[in-house]
Amino acid sequence: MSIKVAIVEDDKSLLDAIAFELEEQGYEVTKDVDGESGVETIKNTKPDIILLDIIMPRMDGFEVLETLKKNEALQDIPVIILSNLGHDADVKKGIELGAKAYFIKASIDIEEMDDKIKEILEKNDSKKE
Amino acid sequence: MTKRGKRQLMRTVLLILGSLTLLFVVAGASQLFAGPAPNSCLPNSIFLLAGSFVVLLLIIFFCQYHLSIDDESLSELMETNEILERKLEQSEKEKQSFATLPLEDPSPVLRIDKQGKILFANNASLSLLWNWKKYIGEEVPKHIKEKIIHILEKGKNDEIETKVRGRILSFKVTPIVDEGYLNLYGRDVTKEKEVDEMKSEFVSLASHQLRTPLTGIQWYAQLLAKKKTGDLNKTQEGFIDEILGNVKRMVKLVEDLLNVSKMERGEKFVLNRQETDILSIVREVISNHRREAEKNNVTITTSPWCGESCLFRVDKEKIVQAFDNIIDNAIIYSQDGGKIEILCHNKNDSIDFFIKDYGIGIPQKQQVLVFDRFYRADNAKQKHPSGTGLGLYLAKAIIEKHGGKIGFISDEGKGTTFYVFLPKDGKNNKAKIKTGFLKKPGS
Repeated sequence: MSIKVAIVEDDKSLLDAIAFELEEQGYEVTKDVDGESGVETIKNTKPDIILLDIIMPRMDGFEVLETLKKNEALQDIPVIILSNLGHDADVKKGIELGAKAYFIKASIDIEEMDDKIKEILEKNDSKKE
Repeated sequence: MTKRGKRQLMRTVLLILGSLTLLFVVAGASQLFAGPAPNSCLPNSIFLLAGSFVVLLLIIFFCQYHLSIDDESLSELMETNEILERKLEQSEKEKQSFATLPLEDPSPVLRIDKQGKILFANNASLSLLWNWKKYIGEEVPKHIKEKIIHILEKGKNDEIETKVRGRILSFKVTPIVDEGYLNLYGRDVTKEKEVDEMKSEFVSLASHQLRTPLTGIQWYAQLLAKKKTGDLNKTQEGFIDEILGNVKRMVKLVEDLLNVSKMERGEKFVLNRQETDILSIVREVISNHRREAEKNNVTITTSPWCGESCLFRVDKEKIVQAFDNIIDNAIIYSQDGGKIEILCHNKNDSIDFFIKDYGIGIPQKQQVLVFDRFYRADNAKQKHPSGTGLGLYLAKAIIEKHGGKIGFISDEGKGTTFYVFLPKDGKNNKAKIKTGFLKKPGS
């Protein structure tokens, strides 16, 4: 069964690139361009992992994280923050709110995404066990 | 003859005349009362007394003359005294007016003793004292006291900053160690700080905004390079490589700018330390630079290497950035066909790295400025006009944040050897570098 990934990213160009790459790798992908619709999609599809941007219209990534962590059904879904916001305070806040990893988009190669996702999922599974 | 000489002569003459008078009086008196001695050759007493009288007149004359000299000297003395008094008065006035100089200085000036007690504060410091709720003679607030005592102990000029009613004051602190006090010369830097803040915010914002389109270019170029949308011919592959190479350069530049802007805003590097194999980090950086080195016709050698692995608690991303910048420079400033040797020396609790190139070197007079922000040596600008002068500035900040040290020796025209010392625990930065590795490049 393929891994379900929810991508919440307001930049359509980046959203399409990463969705293309992950679909090529065999992932099942949902795409949202703002936090609010992202939360709705996550509620409906219960993905295995979430790729989340920070600066987005309507609801930013931090608010999405807070919403997810308050929801018992969604709080255990691992979240990877993918943002170009790289202040130490932002990274700290993201991790404190429960993200499993924080990557600067510009510093990550698109082909690395597959490995990163699998690594986080493995860590998450081993913790559950 | 000087007046002093004249007076001396007068005294001698008076002494002789006095003695003669005494002689004449004694001789005259003895002849008058006892009668002249038989066969005496002395004149009779009348002549003797007359002689005494003449000598007495001479004495009176010389005394008068002596007194006139003294009068003259006295008047001269009084005149000199008046001049001196006038000068003294003038100098007192000047002294008083200079004494008010620090008082009237529009910038705050303070003197604080080694116990933190305020010895002097000028008018411009009053708002500061008011803010501290302190008077002259009282101790400055604890946080200021601790800083200035530290500066006095070090005995070196330093700067401290403090806020007063929304204004930022920067004080140059000069310790006068022998006297046991410090002079503080303040300056309102609020405006400068605001401009700096705006500049940093702009750089930070612009950099974040730049990252997003760069990410797009990079990711799509990577998708093309992976032939996800079909095969590419050799030329197309080469072009995509060029796009990716340029994007990486741009991403690095943005990264450097962001880090500098962070440092300017006073945000210290927050290290995300993790147990990491330092050797594999450096190996990875070297491997990432091999292609660029090849393009520049430069060979990188890494032997003798120091062991298989070496676990250190470091921030991997930042250490990568530091070595990236150093090795980048070694490649860029190498001569065509040149070589770079990267060596390491493992000391168990610390490790030294040496990055030796045989390139253009750094001019002797400019070596002291090489780690300054935006500084670029003249020959570096000529060889590579588009550099930013941020690489070594950041490398130094990163290495020092890890408790390490960075330095170099260089000969213009022959090359440069950079050394990086990193302690395992990130604390000890006093260890000595084994200088055997630091032979002059080209020697």
